[in-house]
Amino acid sequence: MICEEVEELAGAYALGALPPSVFAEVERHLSSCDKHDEIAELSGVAAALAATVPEMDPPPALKARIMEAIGSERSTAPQATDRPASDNWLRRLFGRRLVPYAFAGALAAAVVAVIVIIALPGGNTDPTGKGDFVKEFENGRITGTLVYTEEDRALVISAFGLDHLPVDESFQVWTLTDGQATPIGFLEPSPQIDGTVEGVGVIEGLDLTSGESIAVTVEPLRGSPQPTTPPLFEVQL
Amino acid sequence: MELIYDRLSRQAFGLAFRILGDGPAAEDVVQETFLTLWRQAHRLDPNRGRLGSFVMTLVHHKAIDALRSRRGMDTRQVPIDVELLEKGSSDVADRILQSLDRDAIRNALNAIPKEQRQPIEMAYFEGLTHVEIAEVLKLPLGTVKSRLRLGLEKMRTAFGVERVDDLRRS
Repeated sequence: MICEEVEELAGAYALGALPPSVFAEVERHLSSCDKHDEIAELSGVAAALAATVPEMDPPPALKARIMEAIGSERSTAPQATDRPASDNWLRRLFGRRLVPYAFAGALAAAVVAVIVIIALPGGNTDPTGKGDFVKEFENGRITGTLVYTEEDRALVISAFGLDHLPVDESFQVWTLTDGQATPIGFLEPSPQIDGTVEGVGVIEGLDLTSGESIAVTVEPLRGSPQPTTPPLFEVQL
Repeated sequence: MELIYDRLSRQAFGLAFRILGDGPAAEDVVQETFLTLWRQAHRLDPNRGRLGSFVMTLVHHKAIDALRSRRGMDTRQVPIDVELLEKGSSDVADRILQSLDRDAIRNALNAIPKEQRQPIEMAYFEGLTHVEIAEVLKLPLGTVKSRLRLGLEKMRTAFGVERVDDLRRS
């Protein structure tokens, strides 16, 4: 298949409207020709068509069925070996409880970035206790929100204005208590239209009763046992 | 996983139902999608961005397969390869979905000429190949190919997606 033919089929390819044999021919051509960047753009446009459809509530029982099926597969899967962090970001999101692990030696100088916590009307709930809370934060161009629900022991972190990271690095999340940093998870990067990155982390099974602050640093892709870089931001609890 | 489901299930179910027009069939597609996501998670790029557009692509793929199977038609596409799907276009779709709301995206689709919108909808929501669309609309195959491409290009312009070449030059 020549380039002109592939260009003609770009729309049909992007919409998945090609018979398997023709699709395979286009794929073969694309694997060895880099002149068709537009096809990826058109595929992205086609994928956005999903958003033209109204959302619908699925039956409540569907969620239970899916979770049960996953739970059953998880319980029969081989147990992961004890390693510092999952090498898969999706599993970090929902695969296992993120158990902090001990690290040898004292924590290196815990650099505390200067943080301004913005208290918006209704923005900080329960600021002195450790029940549910919502905290907004700002550190220079990095802004974001922490939301913690005690009942679910779930922490959701959303941070805007982050830089793009190399493929071998990650945004690692820590709790800090008495100068000790405990790794609790990672932020998943999401490129924004303004060229920055949004980092979102959902961390379950987290007890923040004794935690003093939450911090995020840049670490190797699979995480570090202790922070190796200064915090991008730190939020006092 | 529950949080992922809670965040994406309404959109996933809405898309599946739109394609299949059948609640139980849409449920099956959504269930298969999240199970696929769970099983194939280890194959995904750990630096990939948002999950939403990727999950919707999975839903779409499975729903179209189910629709064509129900009609006794051959599968339109090759079997799902999550790495292949993921490689495709998530970045562009992610940017569109983040920067535009649902109404804006719908308006962009409705704004393109009907002769381009109709084949796009037949391809995306009814799972027809470009050959089948040409037969249904009684149009030359080349015309259908052209309209599918032009319609998507017009939507791309409406979405304000920067061309890859422009990004590379900046």
